[in-house]
Order: sequence, then C-alpha cells, then structure tokens
Amino acid sequence: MTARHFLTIVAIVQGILLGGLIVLIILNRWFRLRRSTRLNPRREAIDASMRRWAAGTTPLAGVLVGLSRLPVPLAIDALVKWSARVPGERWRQLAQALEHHWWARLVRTNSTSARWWKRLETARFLSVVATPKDVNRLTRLINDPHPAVHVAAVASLERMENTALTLAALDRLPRLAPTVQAYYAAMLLRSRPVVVEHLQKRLRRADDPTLPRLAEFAARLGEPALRERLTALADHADPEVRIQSARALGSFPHRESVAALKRLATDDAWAVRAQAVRSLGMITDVSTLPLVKAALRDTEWWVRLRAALALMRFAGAGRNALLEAEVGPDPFARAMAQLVLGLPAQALAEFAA
Amino acid sequence: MSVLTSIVGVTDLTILVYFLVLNSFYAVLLMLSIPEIWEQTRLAEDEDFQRLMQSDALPPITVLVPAYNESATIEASVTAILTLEYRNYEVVVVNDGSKDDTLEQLRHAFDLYEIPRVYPETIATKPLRALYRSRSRSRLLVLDKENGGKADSLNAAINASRFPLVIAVDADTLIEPDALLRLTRPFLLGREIAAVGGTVRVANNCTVKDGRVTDARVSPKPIPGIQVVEYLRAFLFGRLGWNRLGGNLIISGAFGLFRKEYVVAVGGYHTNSIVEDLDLVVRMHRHLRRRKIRYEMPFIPDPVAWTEVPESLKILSRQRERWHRGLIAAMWQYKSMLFNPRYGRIGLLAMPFYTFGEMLAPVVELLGYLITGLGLAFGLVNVSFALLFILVAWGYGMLLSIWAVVLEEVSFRRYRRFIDLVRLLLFASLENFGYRQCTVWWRLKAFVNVWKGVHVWGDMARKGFGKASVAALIALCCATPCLGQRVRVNAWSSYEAVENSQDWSTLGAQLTLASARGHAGWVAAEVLGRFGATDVTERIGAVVHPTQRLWLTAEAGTSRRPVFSPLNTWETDVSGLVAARTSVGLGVRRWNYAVGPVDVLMPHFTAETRRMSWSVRVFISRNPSKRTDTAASLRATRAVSRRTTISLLGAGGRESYLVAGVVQSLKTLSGVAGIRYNAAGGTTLRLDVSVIRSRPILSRSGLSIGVERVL
Repeated sequence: MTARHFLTIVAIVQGILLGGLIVLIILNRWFRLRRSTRLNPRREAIDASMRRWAAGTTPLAGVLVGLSRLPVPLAIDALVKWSARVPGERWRQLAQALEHHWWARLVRTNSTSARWWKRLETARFLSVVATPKDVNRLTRLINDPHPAVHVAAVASLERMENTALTLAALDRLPRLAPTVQAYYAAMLLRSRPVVVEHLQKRLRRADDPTLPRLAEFAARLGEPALRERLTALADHADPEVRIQSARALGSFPHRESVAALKRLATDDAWAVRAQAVRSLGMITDVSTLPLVKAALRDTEWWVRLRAALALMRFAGAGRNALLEAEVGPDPFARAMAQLVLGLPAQALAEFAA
Repeated sequence: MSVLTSIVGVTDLTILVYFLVLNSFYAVLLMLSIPEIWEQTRLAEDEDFQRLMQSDALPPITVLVPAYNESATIEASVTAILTLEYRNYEVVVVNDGSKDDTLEQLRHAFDLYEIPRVYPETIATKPLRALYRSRSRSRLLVLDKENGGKADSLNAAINASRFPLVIAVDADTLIEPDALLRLTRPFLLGREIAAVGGTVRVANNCTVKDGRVTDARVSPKPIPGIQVVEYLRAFLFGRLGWNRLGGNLIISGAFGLFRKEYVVAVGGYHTNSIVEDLDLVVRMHRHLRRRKIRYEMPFIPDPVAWTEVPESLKILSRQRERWHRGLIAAMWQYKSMLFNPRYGRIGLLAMPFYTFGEMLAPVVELLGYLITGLGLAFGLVNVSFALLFILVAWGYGMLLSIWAVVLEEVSFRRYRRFIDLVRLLLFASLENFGYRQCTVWWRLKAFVNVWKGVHVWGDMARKGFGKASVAALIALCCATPCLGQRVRVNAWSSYEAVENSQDWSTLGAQLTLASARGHAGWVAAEVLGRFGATDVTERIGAVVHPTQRLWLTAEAGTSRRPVFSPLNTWETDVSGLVAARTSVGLGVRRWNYAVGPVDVLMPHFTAETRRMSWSVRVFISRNPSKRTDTAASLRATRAVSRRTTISLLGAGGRESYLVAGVVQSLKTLSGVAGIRYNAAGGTTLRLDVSVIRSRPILSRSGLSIGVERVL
C-alpha cells in the first residue's frame, strides 16, 4: 500500500466519522427531547399515585404499576424522593411489595455487577426499600470499593437497625475522608449503642493504625461513654492520636479531661498544643487560664491564635488577659491580642470553629 | 537539486511520522475521555453525593483573589465570590498596588477596617501596606500591598490564608455558585488530592446577572466562537483523557484548587514565571514524585468558571504568544524531568507530550507548510498528494473538535439552543481554515521572543545582539580561515545635508567571509550621527546557495542607542535565476522601532545584458499606523571600461521614516549616481551622489564613499 492509498483510506474514514458524529449529535438531541416528552407524563403520574397512596386514597397496586412503567433509574429516583415523605409503616408495605416485583428483583441482582453504576443503582434502591433479607447484599455494598456505592449503601442504616451492617460501616469508617465520616456518623445515629460499644473496644487497641480516624469519629459523636477512652489517648505515642484526643476532650468538661488537656498544652508537637488550648477554651476552667495565657507567647503562630481565641471564651478574665498582652512586653503576644481583640463576633466564631 | 530532493524527502517523512504519532496519541486521549466523562457525569448527578456536599464537614477553602486596577468590577466580583454555595470558606482579596481606586471601592463596599498585620509569612512577597477585615462580611480579608504581580499577590494571599485548601481565582472570572462544592468531590472519594482543576468556559455573549452566568450562548463572532470550541476541546477531551493517564500537567490558573501545604512546600508561585499556574503544577509534580508522596491532580468537568476571551486578533495574539512563551519557559526549565522515569507518567508521558506535541507543534507545522511549498515550487512534491495530506490533517483536527462538541452534548449540555449547537459545529469545522494558522504564527513568535529574552507581559525588552556575540563572531571569522574562503573587508562613509534639519553622517565597516561555492557570511557595524548624538548599529547576515540557481539571504541587525534608527532589523530574501541572465526574488524586511514595526515586502527583478544590468525593486511597506505605502526603484548599471562601472538609480513612491519619534509616511523621489573603480590588488573604490526630494520633510542630498578589499 502506498502512502497515497493510506491517506485516501484515512480521508474516507474521517469523512464517514465526521458525518456520523454530526448525525449522532443531532439524533442525541432529538432522542432526548422525545424521551423527556414521553417520560415527563409518567413522572407526574407516579408522583400523583404516590401522593394519593400516602394519603390512603388509593391502593398500593397503582404505585407499583406506575413504578414499573418508568426506566429503572427514574423509578429509583422516585422512591428516594418519596421515602422521606411517606410514613414509616406504609413505606414498609411498599418495600415488602417490591421484594417480589420483577424489576426490583432485577435491581437486586445487580448488587454483584461488574459495573459500578449498576451497583450504585442497587445501593440507592436498597437504601430506601431494603428488607431484612437484604442484609448480606447491603453488607457487600457497604464494603464496595467504589465510594459512591458505599456512600449510597450506608444510607440504609437510617431505616434499618442491624448490627452486622453497623459494624461493616464502622470498619470502613477510619479509611474515609472527614466529610464522609461525618455523613456516616449521621447515618449511624440510629445504631448508637452498637457504635459506642464497638468504639470502646477499638479505642483500647493502642497499636491500631486507624486510631486517629476512630478517635476523630468518636469525638464527632460526643458520646459521654467514650470520654474515658479518649482521655486515655492523651498519652499515646502518635502525635496524630494526641491531636484527636485534645480536640475531642473539649466536648467533655470533666476534671480528667482538664488534667489531660493541661499536659497536652505543653506537648512537643505544636498541632497538639493548638488543639489542647482550643479545647481548654471550650471548657473554660478558670484554673487553666494561666496556661492559656502562657500559650499566647508560644513560638508557633497557630498556637498563639488558638490561645487568643480561647481567652475570648473566658469572658471578662480572658478579655483582661488579652488586654494585658496587648500592651505587654512580648511582641508576638501583643500582635495576636491586637488581632483577636479587633475581630467582630461573627469572625471570632468562624475563627474558633 | 538532489540535495533539495533529499531535504524535502527526509523532512516530509519526519513530519508524516510526527503527524502519525501525535494524532495517535490524540486518539488515545479521545478514547480515554469517554469512560472518564461517563463516570464524572454519573457522579455529578448522584444525589447521595449531593447530600454529602451539604455537610459542614467539607474541607475549608481559602479563595485567593489577586486584583490590579479592577475598580470597575471588583465589587461585583467579590460579592459574587462571597455568595458561593459552600459552608466553610474565606476570601482573601489582594490589592496589588493598584493605581486606580480598587482599594477604595472595596473599603466602601464592604465596610473594611484595618487590623494588625499578623500572619505567618511563609513565602517572601513584596511588602504589605495594610490588612483589612470587613464588618459586614466576616469571610472577607483584604490585603493591600506593593505591586509585585499576580504571582506575588497569590503568595501574599496564601500567607494570610487559614485553611488547608486554596483556590486562585481571577477577579474577572465568574464562578458558578456550586463550583466549590463540586471541586471538593475528589476529596469525598477518599483520594489523595494535591490539586483539582475545574472547567473554564467562555462567557462572551452569555447572559450575566449579578455576577452569575444565567444563560449560556455561543457567540456568533468567529474569534470568540472558535475559542468556545477550543476550550471544550482542551477541557472536556484533553484533560479528561489525561485523568486516566494520570498526567494532568495543567491546572488552570483561573480555576484550580490546591493543597496549601504542597504549594508552600514548593515555594509558592514563582514571580518570574510568565505562566505561573503551569510552573506551579510542574514544580508540585516534581516535588511530590521526588518524595514519593502518593497524590493525584485530577480534572473535574462539572465545576465551571466563566471567563471573557479576547474578541480581537490583536489581544488574542498577545495572549496565545504569552501562553506559548510560558510553555516554552516551563518545558526548558524543567527539562530534567523529560523522559525521566523517576517522575513516572509525568516524566515519561506528560512532559514529552507537552514538549514535542504542544511546544514544538507550531515549528513542525510551519516546516510542513514551507517544505510543501518548496516541494511544490520545484516539482518535488505531487500536488494532489500534498492536497490530500492537508485534507487529512485538517480533517483530523475537525474530528477532534467535533468530538469535543459530542462530549459536551452527551454530558452537560450547557448550550440548549439549537442555533448554539449549529454554531459550535460550524466553528469546529472552520477552525482549521485560517484561525489555526494564526495560532501557529503567534506561537512561533513566542519562540522568537524567548530567544530575544522577552520576559514581561507583552513588552519587548531591548536585547538584540550583545557586544560579546558580535566580537566573538568577528574573531572567529578572522581566526579560522578555511581553504577556498575569501575574506572581504568594506569600509564606507557618507554625509547627507538635510533641508531644514540636522545633517546625517555615517561611518561603517563590514567583514565578509565567502566560500568558493558562493556561500557567505558577514558582520558589519555602523556609526550614525545626528542631532549631536550617535548610534551604533550592528548587523550579521549570511547568504547560502542551496542550488546553483537559488540563493537565500538573511540579515539581522540591532541598534545600541536607537534614537533615530530601529531597535532591530530583520531581513530575508529568496532569489532565483529564472533564465541565464535574469533573476527574480522576494525580500521581506522588518524594522522594529520603539513605536512599532515597519514591514516591507520587496519583490525584485534583475536582468543583465553584455554591458548593462537593470534592476527593478518594489517596496510595499506597512507602518505602525497601519498604512500601506508603495515605492519602486530602477537601477541601471553599465560597464564603461574593464575596471569602471557607472550606475544610475531612480526611485519614487512613499516610504516610512522615523521622524520625531513617530513613523511617518513620506512621499519621496530619489536619484543616485555612482561610480565604481576596480583597482589592482583586489581593491574597489566607490563614490555615490544622491539627491532625495521628500515631502513634507527630510529632503536631502549627500555624498558617499567606500572602499572594499578582497584578502
């Protein structure tokens, strides 16, 4: 084949592709328009059915028929949308009825699909209409490698109290980003006793590499039963663990917390000192005021900032301490006191958060 | 001719291979962009993720806004940024020594009050004048500092930021309300993110209300319209493809989220970089790879920022030239990463692609056009093959652009109207007919400017040729004579009496080295005197004979103190023998004055008989005031004896001259009479008398003498 032949073939293929792409674009628009024209009435119909059924004026069969007429993703969207609006008992009836429906069975089988978006559909579906028979599926989905899938699956804990699912979510938790952890915490509220018991055991394992994340999650829960374990972590060798402990103890105004925070306020790691001083500001134990004042002269800017913000929470005594520092001999303390004293209330709150 | 055939053949093959390799890589990026956009679109629509994004546990962000002379828009821009849909963020606006009332606008609009300048200065910047907070907007912090440029402002803002993530936003960029939320999605996915880029779209012709784009439209004008397609191609297809390859080398400076600790670790933005965002990202890659830190720098297509793009060719050319100059500087500066396995996919894939596929692409393209033209002119390239090749090349470009439109259509569909879709397809098709060639030219100018040491944004630094380079060349020419070389030395002097103005005098010398085959190179220096001041100009040039019938000449010159002469000059000429005693040619000359360039096109024709030669030259010039002038000259030379020739030259028309700092078009009529005498021993003496009538000024008459000696 000569170069000319090759180029000719390439030119022809390009021409066909170009034409095909333009046709594809136009067809895509037309198809989407037709689809929305076809589906919008069905969406409205299912909304109307759901409304009537929730009010008890129509049987469940109409809802099931309406759902089966929609494409699966849209049916799941409708279920998710209405799950928050329909009372618990009626919703359980729907979930049980869907157990035997053909398209719902199809969605359930996708829990082991190789394609993540299929598993996501299943997770979303089960997050609102799971029954006790779906525990194994949900456990598998909570352990799914794709983040969107396990985030969708964990939402099922809002409706289902199950120890196996709770523990599966807790095992996953240390590996999650803080925002996702916060989301998990909200989902696990219903299973709080199980969560607390599990955390009490896990927080005892000093060599657990996930200890910092677990401590962070425990702090988020603010559960008094976890105070002792969090206090014990103040002496851990890992500074990251001590940071989380220092941060957590601010929510527990207890003498043991104060004692631990006093130790942490003189820690070698500046991040630990910063969190400790912050927590002392939250507890506002008067006996810790000299320690917080001393932190105003810390070598690290962030510690000084936290100290100044903490002093503002000590009401009059703290404010006086800042005013003294503003005219005091230490230039760093002076500057920080000037900064914080000049902040309006809203800025102070945001800084302190 | 065989030499030319070989050159054309080899170059053709090289360009073909380059074309195949590069476009195969584009095809790979295209294929990879498909699953990537599918996944990203699916995640963007996922409601559970949307719920996650309402959490107050989202990572806090500092928005960095450098501002210089933005008084007209700063209030609206900052207000729009302060109303983004994100729970935990702060905005740091840096007034970079603005000469207008930007700070006053901010002070008035946001009720600013001064606070102590208390924050850790981890990156050195220009001195800070004052720090302000707002009584009405607690998220806002304003820095007022001495002017130091955009990079310096960003560094100052980073110093003042409290949060672990920072995003640099141009003051005139419109960020969509949920853009910050969407940008943090990779963090929710649990990935180790060092930086995230969002999509920048073209705001021209869109409806903007209260700092938000409410209706996206494609401009009907070709220049911004084609840029819509360009941006779609670059973001939706290019960067999504690179996501899969793990080699995103560009996080857009207009809209990129960075982990602050890594930015600080690499020293922040470099103030001496032209394209600071590219420079920062490459440095971050280098730093993180060297320390074997696991990281990703993905591009997310759904967070969108809108920006106005240039609508005139002039401003667009400056922008593209600057971008390419920045790319060249970055690729050169970090060349140690090229093909270096230590840097993984960045060194083995991304850097080579950007070096050879992006940076050198205009050079290869120009070479392609030149070689094709040369080949066609000498019958070495088949016309139909050349046309076929061009058709395939342009067709491929069209295919990539239309594919970007397809990705847009199947994913985000911002342009709802059918007419906008038609415009996108039309501009995707038309891009290769003129626009692309312009971008090639602008990017080639970037190479020239880099070579000349142009650094600042659009200003031309007067570098020219250094003294050392000319002296070294002269020394080289004299110190290394070769067999078959002839050395020629010229010296001349002239004096012109100018009517109603100062007289003009020159003194010059030239050294020429010529080979037996006719190739030659020369260096020359000339002293010009006028108005009691002197200027020294230096020139270097060469002529080569690729074939016996063709010769190419090039010359460049620079001026030391260009009071009344150009900053630098460039001239090239291509001439060829079309018959035994007839030649034609085309010359191009550029005189770069401080006020702007004068470009001259000079077609010429020479014919010889036994004792006479006739030479006609036309001068078509364009000066900075966009005026096109034409002049023509006719020279007749006749040998009156074995050693003596006389010449007469007559010329008339309009020519450009620098008069009182302005390039003016003067009507001129010239007559020059000259005589040459070839004395014994290889010495030639020359005498010319000239009379030039010029309107409205610079009429003059003069005398010029010269001597030439062949060694």
